[in-house]
Amino acid sequence: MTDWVLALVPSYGLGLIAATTFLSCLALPFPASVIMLAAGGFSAAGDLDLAQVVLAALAGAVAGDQLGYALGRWGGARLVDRLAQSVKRGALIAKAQAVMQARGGVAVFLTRWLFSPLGPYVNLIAGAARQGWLGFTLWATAGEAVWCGLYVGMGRGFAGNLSAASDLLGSILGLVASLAAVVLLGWALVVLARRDQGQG
Amino acid sequence: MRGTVKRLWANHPRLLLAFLLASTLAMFFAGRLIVSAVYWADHRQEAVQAWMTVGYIGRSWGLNPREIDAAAGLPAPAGHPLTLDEIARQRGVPVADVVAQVEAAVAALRQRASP
Repeated sequence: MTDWVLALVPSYGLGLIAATTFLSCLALPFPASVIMLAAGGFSAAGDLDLAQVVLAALAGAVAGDQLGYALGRWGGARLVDRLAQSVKRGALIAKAQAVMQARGGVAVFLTRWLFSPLGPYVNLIAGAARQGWLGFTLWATAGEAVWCGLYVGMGRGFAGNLSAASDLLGSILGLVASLAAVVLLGWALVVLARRDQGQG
Repeated sequence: MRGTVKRLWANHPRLLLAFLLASTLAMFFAGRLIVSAVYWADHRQEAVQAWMTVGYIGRSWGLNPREIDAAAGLPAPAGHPLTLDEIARQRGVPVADVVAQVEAAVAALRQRASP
């Protein structure tokens, strides 16, 4: 795993945690989730303070979201178009755009922690689409609080066993996301079945 | 019921497939969650590694970190907590040596705890 990064956690502590969540909110490949899990573990061992860890992670993430939103707002649609030229990123951006149009606030909230790979692009799009700043900030902060609390809390609960924490958290988030899809698709099927019956 | 499913399959095959896929995924994750919960209940301890502090290792193995310090011949903590990597660098020895010392100390302390 990213052992050398983990070794930096107790030494550079809060600054490192804030920097990682900040950078990961800008789509830079920093292992923020692993670092938050480790920081939770170090807090249980008494090497770091729990409240400070959560606040540092949250501060970095909220600042990263704000920068992404500002970039979208000032860089605007041109930047999004240029980013979308890459095939892999293009697919992510198209998905993020579709979600944004359907439900802006909830999309911002859920892409912080449940569908976090989409998060950085949702920030840009929210800015470019001129979603209201206050609403964006409130939803984003609430979502980041869930994200940071979940990972640091899991790390603390499974202190001394990083693989267990990341393994279980992966399964839990996968289960939540797929159950959400089951409910939404099931509901759509029920509606369609009723409509078809009405016609038939 | 059967007629409804048939009609849905005829009219909205992709939606029905997506629903089945999502259900399969949900069952997969639920199964994985149960398997790993059972597994990790038995395997709480994590192997000693260079990035860990003595406090972290103590927490993982249910031992007092200061006893590990004493048994492994490590300095008592001063200032910010040190990783095994940093301890090795300060002493100018390979980190594998420090890891081995801590592993030996953990093994000895555990043996003493459960006679």
